[in-house]
Amino acid sequence: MNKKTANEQEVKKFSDMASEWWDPNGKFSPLHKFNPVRQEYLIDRISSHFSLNLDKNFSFSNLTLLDIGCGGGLLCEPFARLGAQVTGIDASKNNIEVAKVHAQKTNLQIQYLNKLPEEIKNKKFDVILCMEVIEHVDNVNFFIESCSKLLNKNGIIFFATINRNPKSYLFAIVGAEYVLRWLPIGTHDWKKFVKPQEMINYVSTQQLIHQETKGVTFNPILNKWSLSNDASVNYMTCFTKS
Amino acid sequence: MKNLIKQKVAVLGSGLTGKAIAMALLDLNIDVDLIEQTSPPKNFKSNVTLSISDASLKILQSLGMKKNKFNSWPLQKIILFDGLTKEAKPDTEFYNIDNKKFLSHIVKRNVLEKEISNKLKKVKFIKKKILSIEGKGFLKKIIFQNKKTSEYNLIIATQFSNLKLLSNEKKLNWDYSETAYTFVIHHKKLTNNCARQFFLKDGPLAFLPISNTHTSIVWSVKNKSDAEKIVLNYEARLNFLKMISVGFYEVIGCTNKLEKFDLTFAFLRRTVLSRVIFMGDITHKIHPIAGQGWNMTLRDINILVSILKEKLNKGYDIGDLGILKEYEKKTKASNLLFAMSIDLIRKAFRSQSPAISKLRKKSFSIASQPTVMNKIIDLADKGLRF
Repeated sequence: MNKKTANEQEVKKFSDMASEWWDPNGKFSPLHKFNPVRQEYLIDRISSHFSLNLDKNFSFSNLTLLDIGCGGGLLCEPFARLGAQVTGIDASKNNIEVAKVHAQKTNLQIQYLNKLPEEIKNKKFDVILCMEVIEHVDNVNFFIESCSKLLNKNGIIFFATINRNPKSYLFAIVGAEYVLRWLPIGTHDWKKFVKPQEMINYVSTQQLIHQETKGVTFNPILNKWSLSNDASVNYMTCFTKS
Repeated sequence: MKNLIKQKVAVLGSGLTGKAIAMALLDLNIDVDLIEQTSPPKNFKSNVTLSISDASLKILQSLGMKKNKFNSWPLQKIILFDGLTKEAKPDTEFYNIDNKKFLSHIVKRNVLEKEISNKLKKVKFIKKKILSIEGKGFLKKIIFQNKKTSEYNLIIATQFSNLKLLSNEKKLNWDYSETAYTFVIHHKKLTNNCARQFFLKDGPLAFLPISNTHTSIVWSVKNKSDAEKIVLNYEARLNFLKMISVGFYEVIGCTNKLEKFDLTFAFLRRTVLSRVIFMGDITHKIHPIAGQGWNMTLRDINILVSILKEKLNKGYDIGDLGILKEYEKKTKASNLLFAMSIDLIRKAFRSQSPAISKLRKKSFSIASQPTVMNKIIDLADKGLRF
């Protein structure tokens, strides 16, 4: 059985897009539009979990954070600005190169590694993010196991992905790829989507306690993503280690 | 422990607006550089006054300024005269129905500026000519004439129309062909908390009290008009002021020195670009007729600071165009409407046609009704809010 968590075709697909990561009007503009919702949710959730005061300067300065599948560093940078010690890993070397260049040019210190979670040894983190990656890996169980092992005691881990149901096929595949052309056709494979309950079942085997599941929905009239309780398409879940 | 790096902001222009922005940013977790290209005149004594509304004064206080530090002089009442009336009979009086609140506060510009400067010890002051500003996507890079460079997350420009950065921007712009002259009169001591404005043929003349013995005069006159001749001649000026102020001031003398400003209207079509914001007079320059210019700027500063504070707490890069667009959305439309209303007021008072004059009298009487007056005062105090 394949014990590597990255699917080679998936890696190549994103490598081709990598140089466009940071253009808010470029190919990745849907992600730039999507990013603030998850960024603000994560910051709120993490600060309340560790009882941090966001009004304080560098409020995250005592935290270590690992972003798995960091891409061009869109989520790593906000946490670095808040003072967290951030490590971003990605299976694509191009993504890592793009992220490194961008962090350096915007005066941020972030450690970027072209590694898979199972390749990180002797290091644990207070916060782990696995945002929109699980639907691109081959062996979900092994991936979750590898990620969870890297979490510190009392740490918090987030998984975000897309639900698997007829609605998500319509919205995330037909809508986003074929109709709106937000994403290149073939970005997502519907069969790889994960239902929230499956996610909770997988992750709970790792001695992690489920905290909450939040939906992220798109309002076409306001042209805006927002947080909701509707997890029928995009959703985020978080777990803590006690 | 790793090195924590703050985001950096460059404020271009160290005038009152630039300094006030720098002061407002001090409370945030960012590094501020205040950049000035020209050397300010040394020991320059100025009599220029600003009218600061009650709400604006509160903004200044929230930014850390103590009220007694810059000798603001409170106004309880504003009296308007339509033309030159022999018996100095007012056409409208504005006062706050709530007695505890003041209408506005008159502040000497250089006193305020000095007080703000005292707050800027932590700000890095750079006096260097700028060669160019570069950078697309990543941080903005300022290249100085000595080839040294500095990088910034955000540039807030309050001056420097000589830079390419601003000269390409489109704006609504017209010249009033008027000049505002300002000086101070000295008069017999009295309780001096009432401003007066005369709408004269060649432009408005305002009396703005700054103490019980001194009052600042702002007199806008049509270029090359009879009124301008009077302003420019010391004796004629003093005599005219003595004549017009019969009944409320016993004028003893006036300052010899005049300060003058060409009056123009300017409104910038867009106030934000990627990692750049334009603020202050370069974005909206209005006629001083209602003393509202700097109130608009202070409101802008207040809005910007509250947005930046919230976004900094949420880990954003403060130069992010989305954030700057949010600022523009919250300021531009109301500022345009506000600026145009001021322009309309000035046009209405300039006209000598009997029909307009009649309309003016009528609107004065409408404005005197308590509910209408309250609305006008609120508008002048806080600006337009949607």
